[in-house]
Amino acid sequence: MGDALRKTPLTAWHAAHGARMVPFAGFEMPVQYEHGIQEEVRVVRNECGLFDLCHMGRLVLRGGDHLAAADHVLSQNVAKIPEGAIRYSLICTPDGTVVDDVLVYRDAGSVHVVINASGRETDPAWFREHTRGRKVEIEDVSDRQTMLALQGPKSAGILGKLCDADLASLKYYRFTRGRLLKKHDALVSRTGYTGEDGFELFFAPDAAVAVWEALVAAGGKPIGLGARDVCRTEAGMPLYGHEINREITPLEADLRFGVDLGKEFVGAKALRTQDGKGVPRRLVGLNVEGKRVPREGCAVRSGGEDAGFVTSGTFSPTLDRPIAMALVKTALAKEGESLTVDLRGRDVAVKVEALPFYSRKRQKKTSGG
Amino acid sequence: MKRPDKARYSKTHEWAILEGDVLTLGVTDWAVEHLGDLVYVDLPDAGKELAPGETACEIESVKAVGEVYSPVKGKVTAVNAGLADDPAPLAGDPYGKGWLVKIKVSDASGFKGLLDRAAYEKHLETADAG
Repeated sequence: MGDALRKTPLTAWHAAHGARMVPFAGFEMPVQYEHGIQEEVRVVRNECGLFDLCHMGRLVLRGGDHLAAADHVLSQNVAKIPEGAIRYSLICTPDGTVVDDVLVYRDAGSVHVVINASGRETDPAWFREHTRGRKVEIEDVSDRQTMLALQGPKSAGILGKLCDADLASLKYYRFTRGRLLKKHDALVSRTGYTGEDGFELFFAPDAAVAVWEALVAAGGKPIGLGARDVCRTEAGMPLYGHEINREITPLEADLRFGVDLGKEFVGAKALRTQDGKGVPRRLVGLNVEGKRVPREGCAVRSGGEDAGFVTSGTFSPTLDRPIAMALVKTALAKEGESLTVDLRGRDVAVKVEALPFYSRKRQKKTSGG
Repeated sequence: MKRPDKARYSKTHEWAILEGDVLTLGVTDWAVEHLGDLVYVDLPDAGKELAPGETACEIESVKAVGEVYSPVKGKVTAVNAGLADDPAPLAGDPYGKGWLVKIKVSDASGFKGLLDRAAYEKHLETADAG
């Protein structure tokens, strides 16, 4: 790839509708629209936000050995995922650290993997390298699909206006198929990255603008990457490159639910060893005294001694206070533990707080997953 | 937004107005725009001694923090304390009600190195850099 930023089918639409565009993982993406991040977070928490996720990558695994191949690369037990269901999973190095975090869609005869934008070059190569000799085709369909999300309590009502799939009976972390605007075939999943109820849609690129504009007309509001990052931080969700990377394991990052230590996969042995010994550090939330915001990389200390570092920090409009996540020594990763964060040369008192900072009140119909 | 002619500007997007030996310091509309939603201004205590290039205060937005540098050597004599609780005037009126600190200047040489309005606006055009 050269230096030129890649565009999604919606880049021009964003720029023409008040978005501030920034480079992100090689793409020109909206960081916010004219009303700003705080208003966009409010929309996601109370109404319905629309996200252009075309920059994210999507792989499809097929062939006689595709399940075994997926199970060799992914930490989640793919063979046990029911058809039509979705699980969070990690791709690990042999050392047990994280190459990427992904969502795995178990389809009839294939497995779909949604990867981060930052993994679009590395992940397909990693899959191919680690499944060599197996009967599996690994197809990168990222440029042949539009990927959008609707997030927020009004998402089902808004999507229902232009999608003929049975959304009411679609459970959390399940997917189905339907048509958008009566003509565009789409895969629809009840997933997201904000802590709200919502959907992610996958369909042909040439329908991107028509569907997006129909969703806006139905009441969805465009949301940029800034508010997306705030929402996922409030919900205590990891972001690759921050809470997890090739130096951090999923056990340290509190992602045990995405790891099946009872099966073999790349990294399993190292993770079982770490699990036996106990993790040396753990991801925690920080409750901050005052209004200054701990930002990524700030040192965390306990009685003046090194205790760890901040992985993400933001002001939370929903909670009206600063929030941060940090990797700290396991002995200090106890709720209520008093620590300090070095905020640009001045120590600020913090207390360890359980994650997530925010969780929605779930309605019975959509619970599960 | 009208940028005042009597102010001088830095490439790091501070503005400064020198009246006698008192310098009023703020940040430009460009800085406010690029910080995004402001949530908090961390102001210094009156009496704090500042060296040229030292952080005079910090502006927190949802996603970022902006450090405001003093262009001069001097002592903080007043701060716009209301901004700590409500940064809205900074967003709406950065050259007026959104001023940040007043500094009694003991060495103004740093002020002389600042840009006039035209030069600052040229800087904004050539470098879309924050």
